[in-house]
Amino acid sequence: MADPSAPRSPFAPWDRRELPGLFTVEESARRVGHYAWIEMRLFEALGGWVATVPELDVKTTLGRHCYHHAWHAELWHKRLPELREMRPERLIQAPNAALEAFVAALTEPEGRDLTIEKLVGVYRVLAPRKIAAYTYHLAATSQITDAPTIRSSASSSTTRRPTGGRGRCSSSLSSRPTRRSPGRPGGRRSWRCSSPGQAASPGPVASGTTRHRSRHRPRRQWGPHHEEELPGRRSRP
Amino acid sequence: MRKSFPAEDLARDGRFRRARTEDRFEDPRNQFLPPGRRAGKLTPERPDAAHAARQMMHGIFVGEIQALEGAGRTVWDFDDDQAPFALKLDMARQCWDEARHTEISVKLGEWMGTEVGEFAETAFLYQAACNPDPVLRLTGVNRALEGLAIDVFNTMREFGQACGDPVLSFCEDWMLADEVTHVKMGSDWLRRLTEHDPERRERALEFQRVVDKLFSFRGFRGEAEDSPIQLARTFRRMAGFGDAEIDTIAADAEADSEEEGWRAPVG
Repeated sequence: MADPSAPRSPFAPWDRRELPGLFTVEESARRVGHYAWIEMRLFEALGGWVATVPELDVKTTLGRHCYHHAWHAELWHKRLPELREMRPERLIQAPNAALEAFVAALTEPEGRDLTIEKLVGVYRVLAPRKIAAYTYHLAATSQITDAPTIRSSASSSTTRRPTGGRGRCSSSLSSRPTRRSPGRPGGRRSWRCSSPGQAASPGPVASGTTRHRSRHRPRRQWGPHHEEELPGRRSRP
Repeated sequence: MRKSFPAEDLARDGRFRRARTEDRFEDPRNQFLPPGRRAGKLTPERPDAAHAARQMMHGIFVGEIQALEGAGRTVWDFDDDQAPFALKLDMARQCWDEARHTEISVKLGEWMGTEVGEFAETAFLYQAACNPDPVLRLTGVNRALEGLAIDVFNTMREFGQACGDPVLSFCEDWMLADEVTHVKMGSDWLRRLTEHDPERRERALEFQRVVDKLFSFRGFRGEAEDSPIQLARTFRRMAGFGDAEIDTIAADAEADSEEEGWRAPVG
């Protein structure tokens, strides 16, 4: 039996957070500035599209998601001064010209018959890469020193899930005939990144200067979410 | 996507029927009452109460869609130097609120026995959200339009209570809480954005007065006993309206109701 009077570890036995991380304060702030920029562009576009889509369920979903992403932008805004950036607007900018060009293309569709183009751009192209960038940040940064960023990043990654953007995309895809725009080769917008590197996270949303050094990468062999590896929780034969 | 989106281009599905405001005003089926007379307060005792309430509910529904679209366009139309980030955050929050109200209104409409598209839609509410000056737009939408929403929701809430309809009064009460917040946002931003520009504030308040007169529908919204939509003084005060402002809206509505011409329809 454990001695109740013995000094206790400051960490609970199941706490596997590690101290090292890939990002310095400045690097984390730089990335957070990029996150704020893309969330701002996204919530503005979603708000602008509300009036342009005829489908009532899509209209209300865009209204809801407009606020979700505004809230993410606000989280990142608030984080910047905590990372020693007292002029947040200095860092709130696109990480590269390619992402700026992508946002310009993303926000181009306006017509009432272009709902699919709008939804695919956001939910099939941008959102997965945004989640990838946030996930990368979650995995790479120090789990203790940069915990507030992790909390914001986790909120930004998960609040989208139950709200159905990709579901709307699928249902719209299945219920509407394919529209072929006369002005575009092949008819439909092609959402391709201009280089393979851009398609890989974290490139498009937050290209970083950090070199990937495997010895610094936090290793989480197991954790509370990997129940099959928890001691004493092995499944019975 | 364009900056500034005209009312005639608002996207709707096939169930909606758009009517021009002037056509609706000239529709002979709408009641023409002599000057000084209104359709009457919305009470369960009115023989046409069910129809009038359904029509008003449908009006709320399309109004919520247009308020959602208006807030969304404010988020998109203005650059960061024209509208502060915090203002856009408030507008995004309003988008979410109006989206919820749209959903609530659809369900309430079904509950009351109407359906999407049963009544025609005019876009004059959204037109208040088309002003190119963010301060004037904010005043038109968040003080005039949302102020009207306070009056309408309070009227419907009281109607639900009088009818013994807990679903209606419950939902209207929740939406009323949101609308008070929206008007308060408008009042706060008007103060902040025009703090050092009294002339611009005066222009914004004048624009609000014009929109408010339009939204009074010649006494349809007012303080007279027979006004179908009652001016909700208490909630307007909560939202940052001064007594003098409310008195002006009431007086304008009363004066307007004395004029010859179109009387608002029953619902």
